[in-house]
Amino acid sequence: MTPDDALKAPITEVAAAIRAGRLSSADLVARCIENIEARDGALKAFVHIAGDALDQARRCDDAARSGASTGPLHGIPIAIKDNYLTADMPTTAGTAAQIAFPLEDGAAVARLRAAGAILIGKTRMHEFAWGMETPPTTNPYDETRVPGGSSGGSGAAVTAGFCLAATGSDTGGSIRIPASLCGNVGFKPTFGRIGRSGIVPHSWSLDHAGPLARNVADAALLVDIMSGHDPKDAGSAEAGPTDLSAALTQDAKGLRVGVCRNHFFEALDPQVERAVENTIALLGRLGATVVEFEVRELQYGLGAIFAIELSSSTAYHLPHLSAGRVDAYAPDVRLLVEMGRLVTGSDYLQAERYRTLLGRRFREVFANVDVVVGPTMPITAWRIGQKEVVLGGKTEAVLETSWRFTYPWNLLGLPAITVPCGFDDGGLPIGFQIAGAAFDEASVVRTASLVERHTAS
Amino acid sequence: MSDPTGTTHANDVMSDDQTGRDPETLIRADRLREVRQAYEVIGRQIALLRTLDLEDTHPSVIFRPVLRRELTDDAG
Repeated sequence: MTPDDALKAPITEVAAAIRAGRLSSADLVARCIENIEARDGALKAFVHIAGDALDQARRCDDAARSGASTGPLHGIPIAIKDNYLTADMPTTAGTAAQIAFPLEDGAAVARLRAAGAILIGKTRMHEFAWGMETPPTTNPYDETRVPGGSSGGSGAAVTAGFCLAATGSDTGGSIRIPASLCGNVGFKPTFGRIGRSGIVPHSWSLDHAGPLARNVADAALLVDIMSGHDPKDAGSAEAGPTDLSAALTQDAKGLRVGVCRNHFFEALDPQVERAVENTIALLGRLGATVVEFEVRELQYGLGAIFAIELSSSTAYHLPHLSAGRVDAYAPDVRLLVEMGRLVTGSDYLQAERYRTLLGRRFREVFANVDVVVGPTMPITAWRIGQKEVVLGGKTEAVLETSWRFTYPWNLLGLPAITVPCGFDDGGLPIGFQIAGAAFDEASVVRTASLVERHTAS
Repeated sequence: MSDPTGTTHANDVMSDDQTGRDPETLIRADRLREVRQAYEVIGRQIALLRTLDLEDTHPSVIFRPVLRRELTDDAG
């Protein structure tokens, strides 16, 4: 296997080739570094490259030659979002403010290392994960457009062949949005599945960790590796690691696919709508039963996520606000942190009560369906600097548009993935979102794999 | 989840007259008007949420006392 073959192959095959001596991890990492040197000047996906990445890879090759026991990510270059603390690379969480983050690994990073991954560098993110654009990172499909955010560097790095997969974090869509705009797979498993110790908090009850990957199998594999109980995360589930491999090859017979016709299909680009409707029809042709429904209470969701995200984030940043350090934040992030002070305690609790109600409604939904599908986003990647978009004759702020279909799954804490389902006329990728019941990542992966296998790339 | 920054110090919190901040919101006084204006769009969504009658629905984030045997040095 050549390094270029490896950049297109599933991680399990690449790791097997490294173990068998058919591919050198050092050659693969060198190829990724060549790609970074050739194109990251324009994409700006990385904020730090590991100086010892090639040495790590050579040690993996030595271990393979000696027949040492190796993990499922042996010799695989993985990029880490810059809000995951790392023992051997600095963390900034995307801020220029003078905040000292410790040099240590959290649970997810420790599990990646234990599985044999080579941490090739830290990817750029929207400051403190509070935004959808990740400046100055650009989109690999069109460098005049945004990669999405807040895990925009991870999305760009995966698509550009800078690594085989990357980590992200998702509070209102920050894994799925950049994955959708950059044409890769982004997977946010159930709240609590992946421990968040060592990830700089944004909004404690909404934050999820997860991967961005080139294909569904890699995303599922990374969830299998990163998941499991984390005693240092108060939100961690008392559950062991997932095993999602069997879901990758299942057919559609008996699969019940829900389509929520209100909220998730309102005011979207006609080309996105066409690609998503075609994908739903495809699942039907493959043997799934399509069930349409509505959840009227979704109309209150935007107020709820704003109340929770603003107040939680500002609670985290309060010492920095009080000390004036927020003056060093980017203007958009400083404004959001300041606005959090205007949310009242009763508004916050109304939002948390609403989550209980919404959770009840969706438990009723998931009694009748296995997954809920729709567009990941109403639009494809927008131009850098673009502030508004016209959809259905209505002008909307592009940032409000970007997370409309993703944030409900953060309020609900349910697993959700985005998988590419086509391109618009400008050649920009379109994402298809699949969500599941709590801790039923298997149905999400099963459906995503069906879409991937039966959608022409 | 622990706070990875480890940057919170009592000395950071200065009095409002030292910082020129609005005492109620802690927002810099010269920015308060702009922040309130920007919040109007969000405030309308939160106002809509307030109109929802949730009757006896409890919040989804519940305080739960932790058994002694569940405690570890690092658990919240």
